Amino acid sequence: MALLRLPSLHRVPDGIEGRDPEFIRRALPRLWLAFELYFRAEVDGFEHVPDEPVLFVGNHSGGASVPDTWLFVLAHNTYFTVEGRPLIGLAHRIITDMPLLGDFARKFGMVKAGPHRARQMLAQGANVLVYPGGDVEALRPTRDRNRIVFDGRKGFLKLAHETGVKIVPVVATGGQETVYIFNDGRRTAQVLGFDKYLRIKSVPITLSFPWGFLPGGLPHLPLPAKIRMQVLPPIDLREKYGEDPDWDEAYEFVTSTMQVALSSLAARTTLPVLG
Amino acid sequence: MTTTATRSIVVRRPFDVVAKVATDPGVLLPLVAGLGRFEFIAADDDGTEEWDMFLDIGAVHVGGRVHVEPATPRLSWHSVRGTRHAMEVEVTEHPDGARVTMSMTVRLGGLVLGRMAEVLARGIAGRHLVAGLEQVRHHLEFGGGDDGTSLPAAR
Repeated sequence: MALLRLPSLHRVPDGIEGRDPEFIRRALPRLWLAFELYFRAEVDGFEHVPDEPVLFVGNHSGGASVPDTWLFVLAHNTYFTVEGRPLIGLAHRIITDMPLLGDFARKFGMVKAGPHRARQMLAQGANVLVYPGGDVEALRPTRDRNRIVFDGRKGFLKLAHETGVKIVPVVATGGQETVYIFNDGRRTAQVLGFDKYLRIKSVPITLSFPWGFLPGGLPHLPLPAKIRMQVLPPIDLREKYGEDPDWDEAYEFVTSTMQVALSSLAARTTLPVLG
Repeated sequence: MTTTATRSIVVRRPFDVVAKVATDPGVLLPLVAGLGRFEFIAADDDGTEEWDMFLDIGAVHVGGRVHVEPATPRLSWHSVRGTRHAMEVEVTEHPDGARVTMSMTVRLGGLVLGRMAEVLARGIAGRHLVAGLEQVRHHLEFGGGDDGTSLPAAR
């Protein structure tokens, strides 16, 4: 499969060595203040996280700006401290390869997504954050904002089982209220060949600031929606399903568990965006 | 003025199993009200029950005492104290198992503000119904238990 290669303009290494604790320490107060004031952020449940490398599995929201991803990174770095177990987030190459933003993301612990990278990071003792739904979920229609959309992707299950780490689900509401997405753009991405050449699986019609109506998602100024995030108790796939899991069954269980928690979190919303 | 929110979900379990659980107030009420507070008050000789049930909506608790009438595969209740509302739960056959449908009707006073409150109430009730339905589905399909989503104690 041919892939368009973007020129490498970044100066920060793509890996755990690129994470810059001192940079995070300096940036945390102002970013945390901004998120608290702008998104009225609430994050609960970190007490569920065991003291061992885990695979955080989240629902992805907010189009290309993914504010709840940044919120989780901030929250993790404050709860477990900058010097504590590092959090490495697997990000789409379009983010990590982007000039300036890519460097910023790498300093915060983002690396280019890939199963071998996740294995490396877990072996190095890091917590790893993945969003199995990827761009398909981050660009799901606004009407499905409180739905888990992993698009049938089961790689995260195999990764957790193979490496023997627990899955810690993380659900969040509000992120998908920072942009309006009219439709499911998977068919458009196929027709345009974006899925094949850019690994972009969804090109929906979006409404965001300052772009207005746009096919697909570009980083935008998010609406100030209230973001709630809940970290759930860990799931040990080996303990629950043994050495030879039925992947479909495991997938249904994990996504169902997350859906229950996401719907319960969504029920705390009085009015979308306002919170 | 009244407003009604209706939501449904397909549960991949046999109809009779789903109907038994989804229309048992001892199981269902804690699920729907699990986002607030609930308390079993009394059972009458005719099979009906009274519960106190409140949804936690920010700083406001909405609900009150409800009179519950189970009649498998349906369950209904109406308020006798507090926020005026009624609820219908119905289980029907579906090719993949059973469909559970919940409808909540809320009656609020007032004209302009009353109507605005109804719009809000419809959205809030809808999200609570979805949360309750997802709990029921997960409980029936996976049994709840060790994942933090198990059912609260009923009575």
